[in-house]
Amino acid sequence: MEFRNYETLKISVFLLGLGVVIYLVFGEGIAYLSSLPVPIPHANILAVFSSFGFALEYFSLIVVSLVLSKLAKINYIYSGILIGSLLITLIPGYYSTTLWLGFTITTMFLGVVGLGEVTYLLIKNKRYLSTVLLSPTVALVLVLYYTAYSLIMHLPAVIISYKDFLLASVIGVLIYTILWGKIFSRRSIVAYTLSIVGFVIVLPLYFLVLKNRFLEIIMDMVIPSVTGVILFNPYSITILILTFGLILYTVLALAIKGNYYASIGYLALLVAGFNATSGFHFISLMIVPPIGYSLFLIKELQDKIKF
Amino acid sequence: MFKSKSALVIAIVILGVSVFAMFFQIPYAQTSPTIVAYKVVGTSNLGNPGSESFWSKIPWVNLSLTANIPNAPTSGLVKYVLVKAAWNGTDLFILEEWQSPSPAYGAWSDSAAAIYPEATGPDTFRIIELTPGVTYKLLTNYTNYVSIINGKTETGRLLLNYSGITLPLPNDTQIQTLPNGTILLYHSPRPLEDLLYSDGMFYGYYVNSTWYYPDRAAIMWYLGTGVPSQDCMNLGGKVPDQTYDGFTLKYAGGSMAESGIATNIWMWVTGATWNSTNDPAFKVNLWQNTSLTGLSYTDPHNHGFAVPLYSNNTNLYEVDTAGIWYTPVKSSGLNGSLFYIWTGATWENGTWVLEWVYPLNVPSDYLPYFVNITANKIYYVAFAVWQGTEGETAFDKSISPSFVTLELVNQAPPTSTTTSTTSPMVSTTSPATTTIVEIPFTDIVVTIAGVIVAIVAVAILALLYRK
Repeated sequence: MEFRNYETLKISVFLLGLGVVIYLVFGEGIAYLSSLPVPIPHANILAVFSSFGFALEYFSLIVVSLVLSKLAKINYIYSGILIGSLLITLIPGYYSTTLWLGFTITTMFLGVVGLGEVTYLLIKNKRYLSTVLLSPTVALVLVLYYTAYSLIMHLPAVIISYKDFLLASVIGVLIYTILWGKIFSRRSIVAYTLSIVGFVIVLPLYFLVLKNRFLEIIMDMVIPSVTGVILFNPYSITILILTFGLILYTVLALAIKGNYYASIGYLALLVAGFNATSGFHFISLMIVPPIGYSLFLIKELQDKIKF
Repeated sequence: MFKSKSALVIAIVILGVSVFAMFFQIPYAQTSPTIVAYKVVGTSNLGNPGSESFWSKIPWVNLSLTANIPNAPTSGLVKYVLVKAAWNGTDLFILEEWQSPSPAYGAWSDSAAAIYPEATGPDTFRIIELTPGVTYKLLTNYTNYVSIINGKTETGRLLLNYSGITLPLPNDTQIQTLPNGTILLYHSPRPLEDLLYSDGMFYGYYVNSTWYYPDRAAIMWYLGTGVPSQDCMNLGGKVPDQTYDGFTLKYAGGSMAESGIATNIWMWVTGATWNSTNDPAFKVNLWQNTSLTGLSYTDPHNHGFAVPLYSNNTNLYEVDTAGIWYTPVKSSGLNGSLFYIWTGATWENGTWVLEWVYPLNVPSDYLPYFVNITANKIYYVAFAVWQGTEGETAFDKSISPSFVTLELVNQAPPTSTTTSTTSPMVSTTSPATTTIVEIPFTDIVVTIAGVIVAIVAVAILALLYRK
């Protein structure tokens, strides 16, 4: 039975997006705040939703990578890692072995290879402008991989402005969004207009932080804890909040314009990618960025894909 | 709706497994950093911690620390702690190193001083700095209250106000206003810490050249079989549901926040457990005096130690019968428990080096409260560090944001090339230490092997799908 078709891809990408959002809200949003001396009401119940979100992300990722293997072959390895790594937990204490450390490096390097394969496919199919516009995103993921590597190998901390890399990435994808499909059409105008909601949603937080130094200090700690975007200059919190607004705008605009795959792929890439600043935690999160990047290929190579 | 039956089946399976995951734990492969305690030959040298030859073979694990109180400028000042571990069959050794520009020499533990006033240093104190913008008012209709304002005793009750949020203070509260309007509140009772923090009025602890808290370090061990999700402790009173000046405080301060978990905490503090002439308690031989400690035993060999604590959802307890710092966990037994965990520490060139020694053959009556450590088993540990002279005090500290794993293995340590160099900083009065951590040889091999495996995997894939 050939299940690798558009319909499977569509539903599994939808479930992937749903899983990413649920895990971000109920998992990362709460787990990283739990070290603060603030009682979180019903944290145990919220953790159940977090487990649901993560499972949704994990298992839909297996299907997405299997379908995407028709496009970028590296996805065969990714799906193998996702399925196989569920079994490794049968070995007690597997993660303290040198062999597992080596496998972690292998996975990360395969992530880099995946980024390379997608970029190669874009160039091979003469999508030069898309390649250029997505290159800051690739650079961001490479930086995040190095950060995770330095953490896992206990090297000195990477002191770099993640915020600048993130801003460059979102500006690139925003221009990509505008140029993708018809720049001006009824649907495009609706997309540009409706997506403003995504930007506006962060403005109350922006103004709160701008006017209230007390909250600015709190958010300096809370936002990097939740999102993984570490700030080495605490006064950058305002620009980071605006960058998040821009990300939400871009993700919504891309989806409404019709590139639903790239929209979810980009969101998943960022959410999972920034787990690198705390060591990724899970093997699966290491390969989300290249899979998210691969999702840009769906519409880019639409006329060449034979499902 | 679904033209493809396979898509429908796949969607149902994904959703089904995800719902299953809500109630049953799915074992996803992790990448957590782990502290590995290698099997070594040798014993500790607490007079010169870290000098033992086996330590040079073990690489440091760099654990990032975070602020316990996110809005306090005095919290989270120690950005990372370096940790390594070893065991020799009978004892577990843990070595910690962290940067601390000025050590809290002479600082005293008020708990130790409470049983022997001689165990104090000059002027050290706990003073809370209130959030800028907090104002105060004296409610003179409270004629049975007195308050001390700027050194003057006045009749009435103090009322704090922060952006419309008001907090009446207990009888005999002492405050002082600085020329810039900052309000300092003397003493730091646990319930008041909770009330001030909950109302956004706790800004941090106030320090100057003579007022500061001791330096302190702690290791928290999770006692349980599952996986703990958080190492957070509650703010609160002395006991659960304590009534304090008209307020009921739900939790006991220091009790564990995560439901159903218990921990064993080892606490080292320069003002009481550091075997040094700079430690006021050791200076006056407090731990050799049973009539002062109320214990039937003394500190054997007068070595440094770590106070054993036990925390569950009810309270934070001291694992001995004296209860010098916290409520004693038992009223009898536990002979020798206060001095069971040995420590040795030195401060040099802006860095603390602290070694902990934990005998693995834990007496059975200690066991409900002490961690029972055996080889080849994963333990969950968390670390905390206080820089007293910088303001980190009591619940305001630098902590590892979650538990990390630690395991005793039967392997000998790998070959490591970790080095540490000291270089004086130009134009400053205090020297700074730069720790250069080179990649251990095994890590280089692992990296190269990992990349080769990835290349081989890609090559096989390319061969399979070549046109």
